[in-house]
Amino acid sequence: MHVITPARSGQQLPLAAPRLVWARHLVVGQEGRSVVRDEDFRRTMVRYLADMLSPYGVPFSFARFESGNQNAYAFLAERFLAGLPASLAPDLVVIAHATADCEPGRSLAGYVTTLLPAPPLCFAVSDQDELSPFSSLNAIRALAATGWQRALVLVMDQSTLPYVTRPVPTLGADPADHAVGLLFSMDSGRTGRPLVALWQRRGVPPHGIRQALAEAAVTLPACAPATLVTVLAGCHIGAGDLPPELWGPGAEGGPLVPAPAAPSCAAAWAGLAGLAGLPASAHSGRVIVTEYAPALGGLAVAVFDPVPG
Amino acid sequence: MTALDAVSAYLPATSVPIEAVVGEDGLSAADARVFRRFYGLDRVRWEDGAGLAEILLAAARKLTTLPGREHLVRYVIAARTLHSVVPESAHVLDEVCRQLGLVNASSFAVTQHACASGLLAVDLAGRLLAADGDDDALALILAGEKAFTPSAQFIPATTVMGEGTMAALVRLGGSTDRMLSYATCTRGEFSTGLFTTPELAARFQQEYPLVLGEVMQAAVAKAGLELPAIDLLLPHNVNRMSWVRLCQQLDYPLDRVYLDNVPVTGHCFCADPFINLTSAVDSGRLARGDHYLMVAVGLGSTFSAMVFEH
Repeated sequence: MHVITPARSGQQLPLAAPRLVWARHLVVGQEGRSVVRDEDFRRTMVRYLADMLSPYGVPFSFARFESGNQNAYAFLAERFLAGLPASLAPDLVVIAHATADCEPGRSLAGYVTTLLPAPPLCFAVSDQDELSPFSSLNAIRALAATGWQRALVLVMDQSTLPYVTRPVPTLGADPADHAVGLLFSMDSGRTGRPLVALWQRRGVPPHGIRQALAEAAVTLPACAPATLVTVLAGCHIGAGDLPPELWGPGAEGGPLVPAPAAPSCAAAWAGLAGLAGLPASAHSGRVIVTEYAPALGGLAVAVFDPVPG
Repeated sequence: MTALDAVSAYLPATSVPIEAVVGEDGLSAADARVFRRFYGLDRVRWEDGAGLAEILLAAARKLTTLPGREHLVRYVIAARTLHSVVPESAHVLDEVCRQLGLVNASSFAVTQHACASGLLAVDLAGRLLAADGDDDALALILAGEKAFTPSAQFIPATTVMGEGTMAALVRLGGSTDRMLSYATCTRGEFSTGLFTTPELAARFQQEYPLVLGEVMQAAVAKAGLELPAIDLLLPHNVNRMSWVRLCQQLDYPLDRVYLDNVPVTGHCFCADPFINLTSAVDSGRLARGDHYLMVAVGLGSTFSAMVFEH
């Protein structure tokens, strides 16, 4: 049980920002998928999804449902958490997703609590397309003041939906599902990259991304002179959208890392999890993750500073 | 301190008897008789022809303290029972923000505490505002959903769902309803929700009052109070019977549980305690300085309670 007192005015961010201590990108295809076998459950799920879509004029495709990956978020979470070292078990889990779960009947949070040694506070953030992970990060940053020690932001995408509302980016010809876990330590230690800034804006047209990012850059905390800055751009932001201000006056122009193809939420964060593959200099510098949600005109920036020396 | 700056409720005009959900994929006629005779359920409000955005907007537009302060709203948080309720392309919250002129707000949904997500959203809103450090800023919480499919229209042996909605403005400080504490507990062994085994369903029925009682007591204790000091309990409206039993267990007077809406609204997803707050205030059941306890339970299963000072 979690028992807490309310937030108070003047209760600013904790002295120590959440620090990214571990990240991993998991790709799951149809091998070993967790198709629901119970016929009553399947029939109810199909009815649920069809009824959900109908008022919005989106046709349900049983063929797409049957041939899809059917990797429910609970299954993706289970696969992901199986690879998380026990010593890093979180007491706070925030799940970020954009698309509807292919298995809407199960409590994902409830299931996640059974997968960890001590039940964490667990909830999900959605309905913000590609920006749900940024709001999830904001949530753990705000909750850090409450005393949680270790927070996992679990970004998940299903790429084979039983309906079509927009094209889904895929990696090659095999549409896989993605889970990216970002584990933060919220204690007073010095390991890991501190999450030093988050910025969001709505109503940004595609041609306004560059200008909006320049305005965001002004609000970001300054970095130490000669800091190498790596920008991880999500799949809806091109190199031409990135203003030089993003790299900052004191920074060295670092690499721009385009996101790997992944549907919706996970792309930019898959890039962050893949930073270990970059040169050591990039791994030690500032990392800026930015993504654009075209349907919402939403733009977001997250800034991770180097591991404190 | 996290506070409710204002709360409004919207009840759709169409009132239908609970037997409306009896059918092949629906509630059994026998269950409906039990609901009516023993559970205190009678009718529910549905809004045929209106989508989710419309019923949420209907509640938000009744917030008398919002006009003129739209620019101060930093967050719009939809508290959801069901984590998937519309196709992504519907962008319901974006539509709500656009219609209300909330140009500075980030909007998203919080889910996975099922019908207890509303209390989670209030606490989260306060913490987001506190972290931002802007004492004038506001967060708008929205709750209530469409009963769009049989599994969203009733819970077997438990309740019938209505489409009443609520909107709550949250701020830090101020002289309105101050939150004093929040307790929440998720029991993952019940994560299969509606699709559970008879054995697990029986165990849930057995443990429900024990766990909920513990959570309520924990919230009250954290607020520095004891249960008798709670002047009014604003419950979920799942049914009357569960509260009769719980009050017996806790030795808490049933007449201090606001149950007037159970036969009127049915169970309105995450919105119940907030709809009950507006009704209780309108009917003079809360005086300045009274302490009240909001209680919600979400399938899957999360038990939550939150203490306020009115």
